[in-house]
Amino acid sequence: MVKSKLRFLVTALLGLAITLSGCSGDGGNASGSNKSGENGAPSLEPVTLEVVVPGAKGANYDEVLAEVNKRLKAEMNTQVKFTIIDFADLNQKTNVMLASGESVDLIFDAPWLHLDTMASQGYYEELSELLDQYGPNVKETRPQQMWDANKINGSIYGVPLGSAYTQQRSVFIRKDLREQLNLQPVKTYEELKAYLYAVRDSNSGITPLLAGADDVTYSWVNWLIRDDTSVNIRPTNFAGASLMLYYKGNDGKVYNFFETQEPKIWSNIQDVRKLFVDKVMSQDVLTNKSNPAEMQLQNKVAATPQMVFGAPKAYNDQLKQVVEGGELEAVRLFDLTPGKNLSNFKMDNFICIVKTSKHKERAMMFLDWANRQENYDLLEHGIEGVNWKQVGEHQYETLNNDSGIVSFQLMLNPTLEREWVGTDEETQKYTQFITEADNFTKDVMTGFTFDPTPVKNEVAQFATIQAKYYSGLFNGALDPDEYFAKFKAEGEAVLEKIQKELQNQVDAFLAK
Amino acid sequence: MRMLKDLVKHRNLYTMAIPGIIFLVVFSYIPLAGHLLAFKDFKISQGIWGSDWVGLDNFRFFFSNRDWLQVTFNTIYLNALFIIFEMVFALLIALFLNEIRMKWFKRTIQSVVFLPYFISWVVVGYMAFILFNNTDGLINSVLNRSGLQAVDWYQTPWVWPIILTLTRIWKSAGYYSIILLAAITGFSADYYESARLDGATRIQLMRYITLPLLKPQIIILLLLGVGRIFYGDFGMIYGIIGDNGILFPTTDVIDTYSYRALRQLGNFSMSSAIVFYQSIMGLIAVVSFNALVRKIDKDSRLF
Repeated sequence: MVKSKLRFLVTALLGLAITLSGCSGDGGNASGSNKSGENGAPSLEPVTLEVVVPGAKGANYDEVLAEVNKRLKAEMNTQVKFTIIDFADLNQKTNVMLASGESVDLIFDAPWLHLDTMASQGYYEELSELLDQYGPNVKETRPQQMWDANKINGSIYGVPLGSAYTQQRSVFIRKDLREQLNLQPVKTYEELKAYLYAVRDSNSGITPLLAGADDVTYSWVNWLIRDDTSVNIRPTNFAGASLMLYYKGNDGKVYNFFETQEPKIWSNIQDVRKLFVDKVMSQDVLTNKSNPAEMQLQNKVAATPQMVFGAPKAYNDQLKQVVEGGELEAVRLFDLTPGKNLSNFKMDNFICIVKTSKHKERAMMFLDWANRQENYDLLEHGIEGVNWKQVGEHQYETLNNDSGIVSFQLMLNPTLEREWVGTDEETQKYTQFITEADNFTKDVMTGFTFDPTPVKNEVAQFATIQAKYYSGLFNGALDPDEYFAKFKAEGEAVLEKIQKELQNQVDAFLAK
Repeated sequence: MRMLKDLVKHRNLYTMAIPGIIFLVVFSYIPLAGHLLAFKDFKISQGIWGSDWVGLDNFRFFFSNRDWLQVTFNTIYLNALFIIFEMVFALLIALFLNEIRMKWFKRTIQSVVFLPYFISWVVVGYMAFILFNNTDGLINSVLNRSGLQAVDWYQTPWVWPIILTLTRIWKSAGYYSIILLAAITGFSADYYESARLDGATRIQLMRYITLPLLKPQIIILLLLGVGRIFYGDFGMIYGIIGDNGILFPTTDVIDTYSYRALRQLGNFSMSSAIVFYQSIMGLIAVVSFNALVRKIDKDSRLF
């Protein structure tokens, strides 16, 4: 603690000294590649950056933002304004913002959103030069493999945000309910199903399972397929996380689900249909308007898919206010055998500088600022000593329920990320596993991105056809025997064209 | 020359029209140029003029799939239902309100029917979900308690045009009734007095005096509605139906359809192509409806 404070003081003083020398020296010689990123504040004109990120405002959002702006003002005469968009509206709103040329400087995007298409349509700035000139910290906090794997057609259109080589994921269930139902800890999918059926039969009025149909990634079949290392099926991202065109293993082939009716996927579809018919899956899975996690914390749902390996403390605190003794636990179906999982070392989230921005340099300077430990901690965990305190070198302890304002939306990286001190050993085993590149087999498709322009009409068409059936089939709401045939009749020809184009691009990529 | 004289003579009146004209120019006429995008491969980095011409390529995704017939039909069908039923109920409300003599009662009713107009479609969507959902929906709970079979509302496409029409009536009939009521209060009392002297009943007064006098207002409201008949109410449909594919056969309209097609691609030109299609069809609809009006009643036509 003492040591870290000292370190902070030293860096701060050093920064000050550099700033002073920058001004008093030969005028504007504050070079861009200045390591600490503090380019003599007085010489910079005042700028307010508009930043668009997904998420929700925390309780102490205003206090943290005030501190952020205080530091930014002093260091680079900059203010930052966040527009925070709910995940449910993210796609629509960011689309409209970009398309209408609204004045935005930094915007969040992701392969599962529309990064590739937006980048290929020229909405985002190429960052290589800006990074060299203004973003030394942004560059250094990410390993070279990460930069290499996250280019789009050889160019950097966004700063990759991530601290691991695959997403954390699990299914949250209720520990207290499981114990009431006299069930052993859940380790396998079969045991998970036993829990779900037991919840249903207990007639507690709690819906056993709710997947997220509005985001294909959270569709129940998609969720199960991801953890099945026996097949290594993964989406091609031609239409979000849709598995209608998928890669399998490491053979560089594009598979068409209409053609193959892949047994692994198909049996999962039939399985989830049974869950739906048996009223284990929420009957409102397609129309549900609330966030599944929220419903689980309100004691309305007993299991939801979540993108973390362990239940955060804040969740359990919230649940305990609704149900006495309520506690979440994570069921992890992720395979911990080294080499079994593939990774393309692609990050899931990116922050991009918008082409129409008038403050591109400043935007990069801000990113560089955010990728320094003291600012990174402020943004992610809030004010030190009030919201959190440092433990050891890479851990933190929460002091109250409030945290910072952004993390994976703006600056998440493997170098500066801290782990919560209360993370149980089992969860730590998983989180540490996925931060080591060597635990993964390299995906042959690493570095490849699909350019949909040649088949944009087909992609648009297929999107409307898929919208009718996909979520229904992959979450059990539609009878596969009846509706898959309809889906196939309408979509087969269109999908085949996309498949051909995608395969051509893949072949060209692999030939290089 | 005569026009100039007229302009000078009524300059105050014309001055008052300026804000409205500016609004129209900025929001209706200038955007007409945007139709150009429908025929270009628009890239934001190249600008409107720098982008390539591509002919009708942007229309291909919409028309090469038979779904376009279905969504066009849904758009017209739903809008026709909305226009007709809104008008009928607005008329009824206006006529009844006009008959009420107790001022406080009239005011209260007026406010109550007007109020839903201000509720956002997103909120209406949540309200519909609370009513119709399958887990703890109000309607199904009532059905269950009274010993009836619950209905999977969100899996039953055919009921939704009815539900949507009812929602529309609830939401905007009050609004239109206020417009009609304003016109009714302007009618000269002489007509009613002389009719009453001849022994006309209240129903007869409505039938033979109020309704015929209201015709111009009704026709204008209808014409405005018909002009937008090819524009689906995106806020409404998306707020209530969302991405529930099961209900698309009866509820998917051009706007929600193209939104879904293009949200992944974010392609400007293709969405412009859809808007172009809607504009042309809307223009045809207005011109032909106006021609129809001209035949029936020459004085009520718009142009």
